[in-house]
Amino acid sequence: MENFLKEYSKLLDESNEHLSYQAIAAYLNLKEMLSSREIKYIERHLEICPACREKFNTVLNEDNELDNQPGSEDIEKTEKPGGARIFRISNYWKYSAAALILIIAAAIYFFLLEDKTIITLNSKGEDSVTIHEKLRDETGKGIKNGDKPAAGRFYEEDLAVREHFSKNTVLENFINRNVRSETHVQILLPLIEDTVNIPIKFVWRKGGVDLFTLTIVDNKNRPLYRNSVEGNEFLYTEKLGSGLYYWKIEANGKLEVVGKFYVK
Amino acid sequence: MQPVDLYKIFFSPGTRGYNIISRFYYKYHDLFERTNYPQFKEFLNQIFLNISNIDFSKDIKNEEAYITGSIKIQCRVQLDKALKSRYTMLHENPQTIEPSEEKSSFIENFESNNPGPLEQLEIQEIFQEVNTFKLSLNSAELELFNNLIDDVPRKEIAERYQMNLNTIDTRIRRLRIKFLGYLKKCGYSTSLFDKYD
Repeated sequence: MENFLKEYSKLLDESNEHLSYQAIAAYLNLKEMLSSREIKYIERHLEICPACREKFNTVLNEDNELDNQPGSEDIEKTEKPGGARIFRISNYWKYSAAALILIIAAAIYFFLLEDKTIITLNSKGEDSVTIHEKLRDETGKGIKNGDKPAAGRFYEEDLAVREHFSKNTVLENFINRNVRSETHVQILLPLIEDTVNIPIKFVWRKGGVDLFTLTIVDNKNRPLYRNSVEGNEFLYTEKLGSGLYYWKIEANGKLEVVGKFYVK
Repeated sequence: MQPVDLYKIFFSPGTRGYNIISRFYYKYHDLFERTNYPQFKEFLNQIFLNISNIDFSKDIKNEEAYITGSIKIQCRVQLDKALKSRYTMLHENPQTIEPSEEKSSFIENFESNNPGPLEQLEIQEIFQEVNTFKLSLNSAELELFNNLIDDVPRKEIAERYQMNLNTIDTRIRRLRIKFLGYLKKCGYSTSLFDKYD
C-alpha cells in the first residue's frame, strides 16, 4: 500500500490531468480531509488551467444554489430538465387520490376479476385473456414468459419482478472499467444493456487469446452458466427468466470484460 | 451517529441533504437517466451508502457541515462516473447517440493533457477512491493516511506524533488491511497493489 500511495503521490506532483468535479468539490467543502500534496496538486492545476478554473467557479456557484435552504413553508418543488417545475399535490388531495385508487383497485379485484379475465378500460368487447400472474415460476428462478399486457389494461406490479431487474453495483463497476482490459478483449454482442431473446449469441473480440471462460450470472452475481469456450463466440440456448443478467469473459484465470443484458 | 439517524436527519424528504441531492440529480437528470441512475431513489441510496461509511468517532467540529459537504462531494463523484460512462458509451457505440443528444450533451470536450488509452488507473479515479475511503477513517488514521500520501518518512511520522516505529508500522498494517477491504468492496482486484510492490 505504501508503494501504491507513493506512486499516487508522484502522480499528484507530475500530473497535468484535468481536475474532476469531485476533486474541486472536496477542495471547496472538506479541504481539511485532503493531504498537503492533494491540495497543492489542485491549486497548481487551477493556476495553469483556465478550463478547470471555470469548472471551479461552476462548482462554487452550484454549491450555493444547491444549498439554498427552503423556507419554513416547505415549497416541495422538484426541478426537472428544461426548467419545468412539478408541484406535488398537497397532502389532502394526495391522500384523497390514494384512497380513491385503493377503492377502485379493490372493486376491480373483488368484483370484476373472475376466471382469469381482465376487463379492459376501453369499450370494445375483448376475449378473455390470461392475467399476467404468478410472476415467479415454481422454482422461484424467474418470471414466466406470459402474455405481455396490452396497453390500456391493468396489471399488478410485482415487487419481485423489479428485484430481478435491479443493478448489481459491483458488477456495474466492472462494466465501466471494460476499456482497461490489458489483452484488449472487447464485447461485440450483445451490447451493454441490450434486451435479448433465447438463444443468445455472445461475441467478443479476442485480443490475442484463444481460450476463454464464459460465465453468466444473475443480478445477485449467482452463477447460472460457466464453461470454457474456444474462439470468440458462443451460442447460449438454455432458458433464462426475465431479468437483468451479467456475463463475464475470463482469460488465463483473469477477468477481462463484463457485459450485461436483459431478458424480458 | 447511527445510519438510521443519519438517514432521518439528512436523507429523508424535506431535509437539507435530501434537497441538495434532489436538486443536483434533477439538474443532471438527462445524464444520470441514461447512465447509472435512471431513478432518483437509486442515486439517493448510493450517496447514503457512501456517507454512512463516515467514522463519526473522529473529532468533527461541525457535524452538519461535514455531512452536507460530504454529500456535495459524493454528488460530484456520481457525476464524474456518469460522465465517464457516457464517454465510454459514445466511443464504443457512436451509432446509439442521436444527433439531438450531442447538442445538449453533458460530455465535456476537454482535450486530455495526457492522451492515451484508458488502460491505466487514472489519477482522478485514485483520488476518488482514496478520498471516499478517508470518510471511514478516524482522526488518527486519517492523519497517518495523509502523511503516507505526502510521502512523509515513517521515522518523521513517529517523531511528529511521539510514537515508536513499531506502533507506526502496526497502524500502517491495519490501514493497509482496511484499504484493501474497501477496494475489494468497490470491485477492484486486490492484485492492484502487487503492481506497485
